[in-house]
Amino acid sequence: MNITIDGRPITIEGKPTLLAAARANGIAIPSLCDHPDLRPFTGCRLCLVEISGRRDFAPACGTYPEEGMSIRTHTPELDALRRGILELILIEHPHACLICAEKAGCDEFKSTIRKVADVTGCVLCPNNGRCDLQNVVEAVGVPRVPYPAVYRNFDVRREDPFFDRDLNLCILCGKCIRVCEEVRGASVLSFVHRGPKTFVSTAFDRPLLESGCRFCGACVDVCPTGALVERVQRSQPRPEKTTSVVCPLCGQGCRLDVETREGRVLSTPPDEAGPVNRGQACVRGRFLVRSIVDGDKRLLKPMVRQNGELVPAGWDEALAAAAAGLARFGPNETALVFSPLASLEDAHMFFRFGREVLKTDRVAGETFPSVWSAWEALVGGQGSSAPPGYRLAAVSEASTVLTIGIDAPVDHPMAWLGIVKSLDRGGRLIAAGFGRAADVPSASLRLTCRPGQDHVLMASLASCLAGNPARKGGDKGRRAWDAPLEALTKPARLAAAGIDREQVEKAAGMLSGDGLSAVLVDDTIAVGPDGGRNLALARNLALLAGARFILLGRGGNERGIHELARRASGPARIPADDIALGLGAGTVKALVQAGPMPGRRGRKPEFLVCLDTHLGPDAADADVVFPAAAFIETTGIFVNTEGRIQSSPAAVGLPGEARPDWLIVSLLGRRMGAEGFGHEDARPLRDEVLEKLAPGGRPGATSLATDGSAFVSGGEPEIPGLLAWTEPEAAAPGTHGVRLAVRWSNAAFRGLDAAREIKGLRRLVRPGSLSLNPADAAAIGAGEGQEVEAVCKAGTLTGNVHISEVLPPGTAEAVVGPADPAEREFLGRRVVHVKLRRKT
Amino acid sequence: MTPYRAHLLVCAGTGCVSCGGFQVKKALEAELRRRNLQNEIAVVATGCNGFCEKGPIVSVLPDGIFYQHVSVEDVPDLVEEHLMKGRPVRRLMYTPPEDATPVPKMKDIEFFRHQRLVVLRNRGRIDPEKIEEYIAYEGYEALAKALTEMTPESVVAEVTAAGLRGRGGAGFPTGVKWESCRRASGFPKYLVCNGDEGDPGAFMDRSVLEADPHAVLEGMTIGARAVGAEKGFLYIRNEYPLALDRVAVAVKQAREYGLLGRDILGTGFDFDVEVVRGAGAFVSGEETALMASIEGRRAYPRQRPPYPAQQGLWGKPTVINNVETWANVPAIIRRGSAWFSGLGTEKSKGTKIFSLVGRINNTGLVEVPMGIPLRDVIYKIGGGIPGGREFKAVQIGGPSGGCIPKDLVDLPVDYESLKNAGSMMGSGGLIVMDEDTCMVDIALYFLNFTQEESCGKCAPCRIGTRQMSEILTRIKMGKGTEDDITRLEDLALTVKRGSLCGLGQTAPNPVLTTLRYFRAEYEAHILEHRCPALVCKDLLTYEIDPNLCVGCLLCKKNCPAGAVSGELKKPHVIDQGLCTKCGVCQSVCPPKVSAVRKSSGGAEARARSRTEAGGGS
Repeated sequence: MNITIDGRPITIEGKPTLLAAARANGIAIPSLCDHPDLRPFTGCRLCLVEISGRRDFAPACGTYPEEGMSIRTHTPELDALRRGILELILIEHPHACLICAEKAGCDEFKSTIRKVADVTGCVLCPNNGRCDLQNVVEAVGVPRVPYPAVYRNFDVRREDPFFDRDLNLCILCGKCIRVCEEVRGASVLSFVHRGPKTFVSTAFDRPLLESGCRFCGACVDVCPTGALVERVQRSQPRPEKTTSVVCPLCGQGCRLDVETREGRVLSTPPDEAGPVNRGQACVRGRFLVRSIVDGDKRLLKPMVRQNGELVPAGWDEALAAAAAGLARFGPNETALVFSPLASLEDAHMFFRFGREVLKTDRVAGETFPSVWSAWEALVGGQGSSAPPGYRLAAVSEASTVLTIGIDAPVDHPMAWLGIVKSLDRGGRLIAAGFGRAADVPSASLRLTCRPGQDHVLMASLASCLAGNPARKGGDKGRRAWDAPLEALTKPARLAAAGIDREQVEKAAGMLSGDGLSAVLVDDTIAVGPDGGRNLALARNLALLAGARFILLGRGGNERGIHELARRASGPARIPADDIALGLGAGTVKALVQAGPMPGRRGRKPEFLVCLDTHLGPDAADADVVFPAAAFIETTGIFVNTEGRIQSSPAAVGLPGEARPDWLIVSLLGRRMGAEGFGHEDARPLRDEVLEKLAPGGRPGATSLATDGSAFVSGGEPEIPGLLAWTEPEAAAPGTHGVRLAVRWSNAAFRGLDAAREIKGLRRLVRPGSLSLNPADAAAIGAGEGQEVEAVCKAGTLTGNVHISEVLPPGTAEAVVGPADPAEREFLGRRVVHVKLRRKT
Repeated sequence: MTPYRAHLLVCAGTGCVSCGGFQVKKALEAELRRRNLQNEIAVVATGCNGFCEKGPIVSVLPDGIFYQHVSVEDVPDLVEEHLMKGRPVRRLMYTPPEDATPVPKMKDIEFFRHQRLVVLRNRGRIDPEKIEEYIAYEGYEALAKALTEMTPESVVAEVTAAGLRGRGGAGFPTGVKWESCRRASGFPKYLVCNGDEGDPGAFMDRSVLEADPHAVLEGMTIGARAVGAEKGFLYIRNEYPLALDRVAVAVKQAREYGLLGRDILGTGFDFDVEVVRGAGAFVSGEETALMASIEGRRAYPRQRPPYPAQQGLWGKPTVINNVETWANVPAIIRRGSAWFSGLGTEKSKGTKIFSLVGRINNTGLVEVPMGIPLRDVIYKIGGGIPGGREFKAVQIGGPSGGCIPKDLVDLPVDYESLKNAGSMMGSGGLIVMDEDTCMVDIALYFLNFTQEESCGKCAPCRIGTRQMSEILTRIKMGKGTEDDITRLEDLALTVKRGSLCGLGQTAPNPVLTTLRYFRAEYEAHILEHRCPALVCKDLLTYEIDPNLCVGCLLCKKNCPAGAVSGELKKPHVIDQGLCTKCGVCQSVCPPKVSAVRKSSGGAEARARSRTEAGGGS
């Protein structure tokens, strides 16, 4: 299509708005309410343009080009109108600095941002220098505002964690509301009242914490003024440098722009060019990185235990102590545990250290068995055990998405955004599982079941699908069902599992409908004693429905570490919690711990070496402690849940005497006399790692792209027909107390339990809370917030009651983290039968 | 059907109901039973007669006698004298002000004589809650014709040829809108009836819905046939409970009769409607905001294009028309476009309903042919200005419209003439003003309304109208400055050209037209601190003429501010420093004395206005 803008001929491809087309061609049109990811709002009226043949001006952000259109962006009338509108906007926004005659001098000489209660001008505003309103005023030119200023006199809202809301600076562009609704699917904010009394807030003006906000920070990032600003920004200068890093706090593989000044982290907004996240993030990457990296419990020096106490020591001394200690133990008496957040360089060295120096099979790169290990256990030996390959974008393209056991917005935020996109286009979401897995407000259908009964749910879905000749999967998967399906779908069994047959039929109908479908599962159902069975069922279900099967891994570099281990044909991958068992049994006498290890509490091995970023409870037990680098302080290769390979540079220098894990391990290996250790440079390690990941593992293939455009090869395993599985003895549902479903926290970062240590996050996720149905809470006489104990034969879990209307009676849900004084039995399993009692 | 010898038609439009219409009906029914006349004389509650000033209204058929201000106490007399003795009750008849002779028959009363009822043809003569009565007066014949004798294309062609223009205010050719929707691709298609009448002083749509809801339903069903819609929505504001009730009854009865729903009249054509209540905002009468409201979203307008006929409800082609527009359709189809286009002017065909309110003797609802001179509406139909005051201006089009001054009183009432004069037809509110109306005050009144009702989405309307109203407020307080008028005009331009929707784009109109025709009044306020109409409190001075004052102490006793001093039989004096300009002194001063003078402006101006006003106050 051809149009003219200001006399220039412009060729249009696709269907951009006039505003987007103009900007793509270098023609500047001011706007305050437009955003490429949001639907046009046409509210600020600054982008008005003249279209020949039309009497009224049209907003470029909401107008689409037609062949032969002739547009003018500047006429005397338009320019005067734009200035007039901007003057009106400025009436209600503190604008003294914008029109002050001293502006130039002030910018140059007054560089401190004072932490003030009321922002009355740019110079006091945390957004100074990065403000869209400032930029527009500069571009349009507003010499004076010929009206008396109006200060709306709102109290600045400071009651929520992470960011403030100063509505006196709000220009009512609606971007925060729109991003929360259209992109994040949370709809927490709205316009309240109307006309000049309008302001932006939550339902009934409740705090964000009580309004379903997950503090992803999208609203803060999209706000054109200082109305929504990160709290820490108030007293910070502007950044000097920005580095794009990969966030390993979960498996999505988002990229963050780490903003630094003089080597210190100021903030970590999302990278708009991140191939997975495209300018979006979640509370962890957005707001926690600073606190994690700069926390006061950071280890800055090696430490050695002397006379029963850990004291700081030099590297030499610490290395010597560690080497000497470890040398006392024979092969297979030692074990090595590291974090799923570790980079591939770190992982590579850990595997080598375990194999070559400690000479042990027991090397764990997973806290719990990951979905990747579970998958391999299931299909290994049936051909390629490569996990399924997929792109998260497939979720947004699906018309029907089925999630099983997943808490998507919290654990897989980018997959959730894909679901939001799909819903926006008229797609449907079936949220299946227990508790929060099914409690998704925008779900088209909620398929609930009791804890640990997801397999019955999947089987009943499969049986409905199998009976539907119109299903898209064809005859695939039909065969191996029959007998096991029968047992699992009898009405009594469904009732005991808390499953509504009608809802299952509806879901099956949706899955058989037009368009693509996708089935999403994660470790919630795929891991644990019944994990293999569940994984097989889920995979079969996807086959039957002709749907994409998307296996989501939660750990930051879990998939990458798994791929590395798989190709190195190294020791069998053992999860950390299994190693903890060995500690209890006394078969593991010495341990190198570089990651969280559930169940280690109270089971200290004879000799313990810790590599950690923070001095957490586990490291406090150690004989030798080495200070490790955090992820933004070192380069690393990360592979996300899709198999996407991304390189993450160092954004800041190493604090204190901390060193990257691969370096610590290398030094230790050399000290212990092993060959091929003592790397001082990460680059050869990186090359080795990339070689291993390259398809076919061809040596010299270091040209594998690390910008996120290359993927480890995955695929549907070449297995004829179905994956076989067997139904273990049917466990009768709990006959006493409640069935408790336990989830592992997603806020653990090595030795730091962020959910407990970082105040803002603590308020949001309420660590240590046990969600109960009101009836069960009443039965034990416990009210909201009171301490209760969940007791089973193996042990006790303590928590604070949180009343949840969503949970059926006789069930409970808890999220536990590394700092929870919980028995390993609670952590390794997913579902426990417990008796509840008030804690006295 | 029982043959009755007479029908008593009791007006049950909201106006008459609010002054006791239902009680009168009950009393009539009771009295007839008492006299055992209930099988000879029927009492029917009808929709609004239009002569709201004179309610409660009862008219008698077949005599055609019109009774006004009927109270429950009058009922026995009415029944005895008129219905039993055949002697119509003169004291209950309409008597024109200039003449003491009562006019017994409705058709002879000036108010009714000059009207031309098309949309309101059934008013006052049917019970709107009885579909049989609507059918008896050729109701649903047009629908039958449209479904059995015409094609969708020919229906659209007929409406186009008739020249029907949207009656909601903009005056867009209805046939063009329908054709655009008929041709648009998209399924399903929808119809919407905009019953969110929000202009202050306007009650045309309310009256149509209360008096003749079937006319609207029939019109919509014909429209559905024309464009291919299966579902329609009637968006009626929640503040019209009677209209909502009447429509609900009408819908139910239409469905029962097979005139709505599936397989209408056995032709296989399906169309059904849903009533949606408006939720209390003027802006939801704007078509895109209205659609957002039906969709369950906040009533914010959105950019057009795309227009609703292409992409409306849920993105589907939608025809939105005003209540009055829909109600015109059956007549056009039944009597033909040639007949319809014979009414009115070249560019404005048909009739228009106006709510005639303000400083006018005959307040009420009127339907007149387009092109009728404004003078006729005000003097012939409206009966002129009460109290012998002088006509000053008439506001047409509510907060979106402008005022027409007395110099232009011969203007024909049609779309183009009004637009050229700076006003607009609007939805039909006609607010008449006399010399005691201050035009600055009127401009502020409408601007305050717009401010209150602005949705707040766009800056020019949300903030610009507030600035304009602040300037006007200052001018009214005597704090206006010389460049205020220029500033008002600049702001008006920004708001007009910058706003997103019609509410903002037309909000400056009252200010602009009052400035155009009454600039001198603004200047008086600003430069002389004088309000020529003696309305703006801060510019008023109350003084007691010592030559006229008899010293009766009445004003002193009643003054709430204690500003009057004086002794018995001595002239009283008002302390200007304490006076709050409440005007009580003037109202208690005996009419024969009339010693209190209200004036405005500085001493010279006050002196001048005293001589101008002569003996008046």
